[in-house]
Amino acid sequence: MAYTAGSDKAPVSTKYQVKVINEKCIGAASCVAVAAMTFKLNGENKADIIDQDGNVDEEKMLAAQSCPTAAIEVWDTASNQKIWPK
Amino acid sequence: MMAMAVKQFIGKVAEKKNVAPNFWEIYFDKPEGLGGQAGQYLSVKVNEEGERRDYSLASRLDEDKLRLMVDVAPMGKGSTLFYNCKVGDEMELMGPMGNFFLRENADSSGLLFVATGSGVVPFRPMIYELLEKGEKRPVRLHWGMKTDGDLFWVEEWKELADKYENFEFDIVLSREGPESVWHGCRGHVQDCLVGHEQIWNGWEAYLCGNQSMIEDVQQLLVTRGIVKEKVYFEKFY
Repeated sequence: MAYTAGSDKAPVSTKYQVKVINEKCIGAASCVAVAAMTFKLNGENKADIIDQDGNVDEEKMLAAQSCPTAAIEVWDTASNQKIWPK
Repeated sequence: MMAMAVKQFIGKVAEKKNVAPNFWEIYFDKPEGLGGQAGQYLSVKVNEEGERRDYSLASRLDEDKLRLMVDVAPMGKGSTLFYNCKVGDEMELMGPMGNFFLRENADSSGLLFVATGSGVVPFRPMIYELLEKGEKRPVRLHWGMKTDGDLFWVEEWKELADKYENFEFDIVLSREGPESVWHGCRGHVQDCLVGHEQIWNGWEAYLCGNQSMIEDVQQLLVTRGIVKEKVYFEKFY
């Protein structure tokens, strides 16, 4: 069953924090496609974070998983553990 | 920025074809209402841990199946998944998505496509779309591969060149041996472009493939009449 990621509704706060490892980013922009309220491409064609709470945690995780070079880390703020990449 | 809707869906492998020693075409049934633009890719979940790999769509928008072209030579997680997959297998797919698609600037005087290896894949739907909707400006494809035995889609490119007089293509082989009867360009595609006398004043260019080719060709094209803002690229890694 299809569902749509990349919602326009920004949550108030989220549990996951994302981080872009700049040197790994190749500008594939899958993160932007999946979580456009959290990520954008900058003038150097690298991903930047617009808003940590721009998308729900599920979308941010999917955006990180969609990155072909594992350039996006996901951190659980409650435990202060990196949960992606594993 | 407006959020883009990205579809997630289960793709069932409908067909699998080995078109060259390391290249496999994988066909999926196409969900109804799937949008997208020529040049975009699908994200494929490749293991239970949730890792994903991206594959450019080889299929035209009007084709009834989604087609991927997978280079299995790296034998990484994605390559292994597709090498071992069977008709009927289901995969978690997402897309089409990506920023690599036709801009078709009205003031461009021609369209240049440069690819290495499987970087040619997104150019199939892009070039078909251009030619079939009546593009009259010159459309040129330069494709670098290793050997003659690695090639695929050559007859298709020839048919397009026969049908559309404004389309020409050029294959450059980097590892064809001296004993080979290959009559085309040899070396890397970027080296072959350097050797061309051609100036591409006012053209737009699409580059897809390995990073070093993209960097070399970007620098070359700026010296040959294409402004940096009209060079669009997708790096494979």
